[in-house]
Amino acid sequence: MAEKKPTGTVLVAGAGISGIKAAIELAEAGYKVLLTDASTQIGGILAKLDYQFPTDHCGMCRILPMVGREYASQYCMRKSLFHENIEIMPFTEITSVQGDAGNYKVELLKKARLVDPAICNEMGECMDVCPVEVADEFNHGLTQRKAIYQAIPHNTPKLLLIDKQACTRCGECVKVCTTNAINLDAQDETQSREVHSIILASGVKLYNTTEFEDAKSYAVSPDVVTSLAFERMMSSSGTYKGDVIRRPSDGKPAKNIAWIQCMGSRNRRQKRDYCSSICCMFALKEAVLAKEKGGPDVDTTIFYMDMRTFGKGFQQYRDKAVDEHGVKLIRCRVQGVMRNPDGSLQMRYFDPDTNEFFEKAYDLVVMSTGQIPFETHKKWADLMNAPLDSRGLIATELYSEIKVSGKPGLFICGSLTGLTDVSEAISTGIAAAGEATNFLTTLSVDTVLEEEIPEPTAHERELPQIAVAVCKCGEKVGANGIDYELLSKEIQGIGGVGEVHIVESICKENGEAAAIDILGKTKCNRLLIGACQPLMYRQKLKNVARKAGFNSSMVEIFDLFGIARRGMIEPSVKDWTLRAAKEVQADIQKLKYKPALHVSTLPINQTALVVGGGIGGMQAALSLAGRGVPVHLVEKDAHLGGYLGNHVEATVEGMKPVAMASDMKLKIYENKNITVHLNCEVEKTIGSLGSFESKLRLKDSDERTYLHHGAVILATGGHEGATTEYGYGTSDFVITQGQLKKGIANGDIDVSGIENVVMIQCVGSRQKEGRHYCSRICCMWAISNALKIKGKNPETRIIILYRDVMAYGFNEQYYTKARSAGIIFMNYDLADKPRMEMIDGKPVVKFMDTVLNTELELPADLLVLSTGVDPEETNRDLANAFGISLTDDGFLAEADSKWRPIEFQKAGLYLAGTGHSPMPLKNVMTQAEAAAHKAYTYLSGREVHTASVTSVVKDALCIRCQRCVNICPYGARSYNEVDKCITVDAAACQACGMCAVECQNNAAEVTGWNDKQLMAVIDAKLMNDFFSSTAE
Amino acid sequence: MDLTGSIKDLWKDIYNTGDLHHCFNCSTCLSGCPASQGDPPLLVRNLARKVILGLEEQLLDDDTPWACVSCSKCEEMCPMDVKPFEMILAIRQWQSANDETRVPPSIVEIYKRGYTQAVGVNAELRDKLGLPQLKTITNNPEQLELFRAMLMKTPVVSANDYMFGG
Amino acid sequence: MAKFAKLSFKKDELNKELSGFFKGMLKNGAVDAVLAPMALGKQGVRLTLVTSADNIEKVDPFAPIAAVSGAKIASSLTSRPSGRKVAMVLRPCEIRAVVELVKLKQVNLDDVLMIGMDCLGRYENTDFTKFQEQGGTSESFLENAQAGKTAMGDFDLIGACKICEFPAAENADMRLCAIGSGSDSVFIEAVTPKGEEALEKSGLKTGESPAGRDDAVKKLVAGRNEARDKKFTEYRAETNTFEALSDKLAACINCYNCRVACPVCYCKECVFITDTFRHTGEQFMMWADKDGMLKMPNDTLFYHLTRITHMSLFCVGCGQCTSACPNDIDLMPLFRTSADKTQARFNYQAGRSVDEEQPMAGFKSDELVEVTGQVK
Repeated sequence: MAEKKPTGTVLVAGAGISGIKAAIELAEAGYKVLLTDASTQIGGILAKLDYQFPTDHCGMCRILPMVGREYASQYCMRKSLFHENIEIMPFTEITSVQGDAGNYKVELLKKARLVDPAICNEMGECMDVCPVEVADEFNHGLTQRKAIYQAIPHNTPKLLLIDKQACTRCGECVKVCTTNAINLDAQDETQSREVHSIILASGVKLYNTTEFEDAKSYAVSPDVVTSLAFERMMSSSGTYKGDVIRRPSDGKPAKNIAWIQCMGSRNRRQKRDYCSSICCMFALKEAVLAKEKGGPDVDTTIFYMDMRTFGKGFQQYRDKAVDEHGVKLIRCRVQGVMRNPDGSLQMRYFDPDTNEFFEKAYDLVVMSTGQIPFETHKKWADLMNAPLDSRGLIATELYSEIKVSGKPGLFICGSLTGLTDVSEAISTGIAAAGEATNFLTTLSVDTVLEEEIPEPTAHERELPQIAVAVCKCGEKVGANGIDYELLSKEIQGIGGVGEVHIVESICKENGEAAAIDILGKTKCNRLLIGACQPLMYRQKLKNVARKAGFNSSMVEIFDLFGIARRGMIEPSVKDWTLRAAKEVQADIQKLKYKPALHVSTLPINQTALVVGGGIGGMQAALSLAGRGVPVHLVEKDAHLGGYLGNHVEATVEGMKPVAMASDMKLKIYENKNITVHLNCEVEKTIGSLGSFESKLRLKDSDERTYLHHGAVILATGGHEGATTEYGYGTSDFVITQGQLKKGIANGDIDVSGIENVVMIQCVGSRQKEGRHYCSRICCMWAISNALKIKGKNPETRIIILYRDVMAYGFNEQYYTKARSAGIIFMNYDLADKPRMEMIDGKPVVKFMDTVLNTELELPADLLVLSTGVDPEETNRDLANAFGISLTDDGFLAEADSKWRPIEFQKAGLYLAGTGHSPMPLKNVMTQAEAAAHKAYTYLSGREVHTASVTSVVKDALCIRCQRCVNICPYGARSYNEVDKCITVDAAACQACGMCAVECQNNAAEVTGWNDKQLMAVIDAKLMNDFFSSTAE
Repeated sequence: MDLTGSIKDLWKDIYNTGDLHHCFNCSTCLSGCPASQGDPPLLVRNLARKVILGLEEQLLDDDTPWACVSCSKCEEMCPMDVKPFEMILAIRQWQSANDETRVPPSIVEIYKRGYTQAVGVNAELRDKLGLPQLKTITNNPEQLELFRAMLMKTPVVSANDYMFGG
Repeated sequence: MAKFAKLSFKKDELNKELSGFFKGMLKNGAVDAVLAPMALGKQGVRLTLVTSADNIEKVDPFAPIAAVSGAKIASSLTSRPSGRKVAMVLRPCEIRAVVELVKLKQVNLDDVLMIGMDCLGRYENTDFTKFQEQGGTSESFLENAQAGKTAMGDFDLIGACKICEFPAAENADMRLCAIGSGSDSVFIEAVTPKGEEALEKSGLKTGESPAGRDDAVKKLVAGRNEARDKKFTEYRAETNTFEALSDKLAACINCYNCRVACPVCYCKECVFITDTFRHTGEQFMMWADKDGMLKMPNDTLFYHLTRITHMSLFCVGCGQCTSACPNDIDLMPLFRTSADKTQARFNYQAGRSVDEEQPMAGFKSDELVEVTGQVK
């Protein structure tokens, strides 16, 4: 396919995790992005969360670009985000949207922060002197903040702003500000922008316990908190600075903590007949962490209705929480909380396991609050003039949770698709980026790309001559000044330094011009800039350097004022200046020994290989082909369609997989870009991102085909699980949900005359022996089958025996519908499973009613088993063929369950659909679209740029012990059996340096970080008497 | 117990609303119910289950519906809007309708004690909360006598005075 | 169940009997070559690669000397394999080093028949010559050493052997058992199927097992452990400060012999002889400026500390480093004491098993949390 320059601008409204991911994906693919957020900062809910299950760490940075890292920031994402193609606009509201797909005109209201982040040097005295104290909403009012404040404690740059409501305009902050960054009279400004496509990623409103009356009988004390507030109570930057969790009321350590699930959700009476999907895992994680933080004597109890652990790895996490951490789960919804005189919180509950009532006092009660979607959806629908569906949610196309019905160019992702956990927020975000790209490629738009300044040459062969430019910021900086004359004199004396220049505020425009002018004239070949906030100004200063003719790898930036924060108590001007001069030596050494770095390019074979011809695979293939990418679609069976596409006529949401699949088949065979390989399996694949070679085996033959391609998508799918339980296979009256579905559809099973039906859920699933996971779709299958039967014959008695009804999200409505239809749901316990006896040819089901606590039995005309979903056995061979790993359950193991759900560790390999884990059709479509987009990002061009800093191998020194191969967290290193040497996949390498640490004689090295340089820096630091004598 | 014997449509006779079947046994109705502290305890969700399953026998000899103290907390807190209190009243009606000789045990209790519920069980809790103990009619014999005399006048009691240690 | 073949010998004929055994293996094609210590007259006893059965007479495995570590030889022979079967007669410490080198992909055991010999210790090269001059033979050594009589006038076993806990070889296919097998016989034990096959081909009859062996080994080890603990306590006391440690290493002249001799120091080219340590005159001056003076050659302490960080996890305590030092720095205890701690931290034991993953060889997101300071 032809090289085509991606053009177009996309507005991503909402900078939560999903919006950020969508923005990054578009930016990586070369599109311009406008990323807005109504709140004062980006990050959404996750800005508040330190911990994510299953690792119980953060890891958000894993969503940053891994190929072409040069164009984006590569540090903690909770601190801040930068990408050349993304314009970030926090504190900005969208006031109107005119026009339509392809040319939207958007009116933005940029709220005034009253502090200009571009010139604020963050010395923070303004906050010290501010007399106003108000509750800090970031910590849910559990701490105080000033009127001039930092919205997120861990942000860098701090992005200070002033709370207009709280500010008394006393002007103290203005007085102490040395850079005049504060303007109390700054006004909100409106902007009008033109964009080609819009992605809504705003997330939804969360249930607020002060607002809704049904929370009143629970929220009776400050010690009753929401799950988000609890996150802040655990956070190292939160209420208790990461110390043990306490009761807000009196600061006593909380030893006894209870969670109440479904706060505001699953409430028919309050017209909130939906589940919020994420709260169960949220609570489990919080309970585990509470124990880890507080020690074994902390007691954690979760009161739930159904423990909805439907996602990948969720069930294992639940079992771990209960078995290893001793988290108590009690299936009972308490009616209210009562505050005891001693402040403890009294709750009475019924324990179905013991059939007894208990009265217990807790130190802390956490309310698992969920979503309040409808008003958010209404707001956007009105603004975009998009349709709402019967439930009052933005209507999407039948087979997509991303594409807004009848609005090409408009997409939703994240919690607008229903409250999503991180991995789904990410998947929908990428998919939305994909759909937007699909749309943009159909447009002929040209956006004006500002012409790039070419990278100046690095004069690496010349002797290092360093120009030092010190940024002067007013007369005074921080608590003490700096004696610039003395400073430049001292620096001038250091070996390697050619010239020293003092420049007035490089961060401001005239300063910038001055700097470029002065530095443009210098004879030096390397540049050291001393400035404040290197993190914040890095890009700005690098551009200055570039314009002045310095190659960016020959430039270092020195945190001139950072040292003020390093253990110097009230230093004199002289001391501080000398200290700065000493400190700068290390940076000079670093620069002196710094090699020139070059961005290398990898050639890209612009063809994709898609393995698996099910709906996921077909969708991915069509999506790529639609964007002009040639695709090889490999299917192991004799026909396309996979399990869903060949067996499932209809779903409870009214989707028609079989019909849909046959329609897709037509499209595929019509499409010139797609080559279908039936009855084929991939035997072996070698190579790396951009250039893979795969060997195809035609089933039962020696015929081999070789394919060359630049990326791979594995969409291997799965099928209904097998079982021998409950006499399956011994009687025609015992069948699976799949058989029933099909039987009803094609009329093989006549349910009209049928009297008693019993369905058993979780057959062989969600237990350590067997499928140790929830198959996610069975509950809905059972409900849809049951409703079908009821539809044909309302008199049929249907009893569904379940463990937890996994009617997560808006599926809850079908669960409710089923109950209104008179379908009876009865809970059973894994320890006391139902039993089946054949009595004169009929299955009689005997089971314990956990409500009445009596043994019941019912002769069933039909016993239907939900046997879950099994992964394809062929995954094993694929794992070997592609050098990827599988989960214990035999599903494909993605790079990171939360942050990189559809990528493999190995660059250029992606996954989609049930091969990842069992999931409903809509999620399959989303993942397929996401995987397709990931592949497209690289396949759209003839080459990709790798980062300039990657690890390399010095063959002459390498002894081939391969320890670097084992230790590489990114699978970037491999042992080449043919050439008997170590090779590095430059695209996959993230320059983490593990290999360099592991390699004992530095045969493995990270470019730009050679030992000579590092030791010179260390020496300089050690030489620094001042440092050693005053360091604490 | 074999469910084939149970009456599928019993709920239609007892509590024919669109609400009952929404019950998913979350136990909200139990956890705060004062009568659930009685003996035998009133277990609202169990009643709902019996009605839904159509366990006629069990429902007929179940006296607990009569222990309800009409605080209607369950009514207020039931997330599925099953309206449990209405269901309890419905069950009482149905029970009486299906056996006119039925004398709710609660009436005997009322006759003996002056009130139905063993409010005594709350004494502890009231203490804890620093509330004064309830003044019950039991601590006031002559009042109780008057009360009994009054009850004797009602047909259901006079017709069955043998049950009231008359 | 291990099989044993008794090898009785008349006085001064131990090696004759042993050579018969090896000859048998070579003749019957059990192996294509034998790597074993051979008495080469003036050249002393050296590991020798023998491919012809006629040249095996002078084999002398029990001679108390190891001029170089056999592990290094094993690496040279198999890291780029010949495809021919080799029987390697090595000391327990050499085999334990081999185990580490296997994990470091420097030894390939596919075509190796590993024969471990009971080891009662060795003398320094120079002392071994004296030992022979004083009429010492392998037979006399085996007998005296088992009676605890290893000191010969002004010399004795090397320090490493005195505190070695592994007189009997592990991870071998066959073992030459001398400890507790009486003064007129040794036993050849087949440990693995590979070993049994070889033993059969060698033509020796299998039969009784050395009754006294296990107890004898236990007794020996007990004594060694005691000596080791004593040595550790002493040495730690002597090196408990930075200054004390640099004094211990003061005599070092950066000849790097110790790393050349070290069997597990496996780099092709040591980082200390790469450009990283080719400092500029400017740097030397800068260092001198710090205290006004700089001892040369510098980087001596740095060098040994680096070796500790690189090797202590794999150190098998063979003592070759001490033997190699031209200035008689006793490096062995430095490595043994640090290895003792580092290996314990990962509850790892160098040389214990090829299946045991080397510490820090794979990426674990939360390892050594106390060091990485990962906060939860």
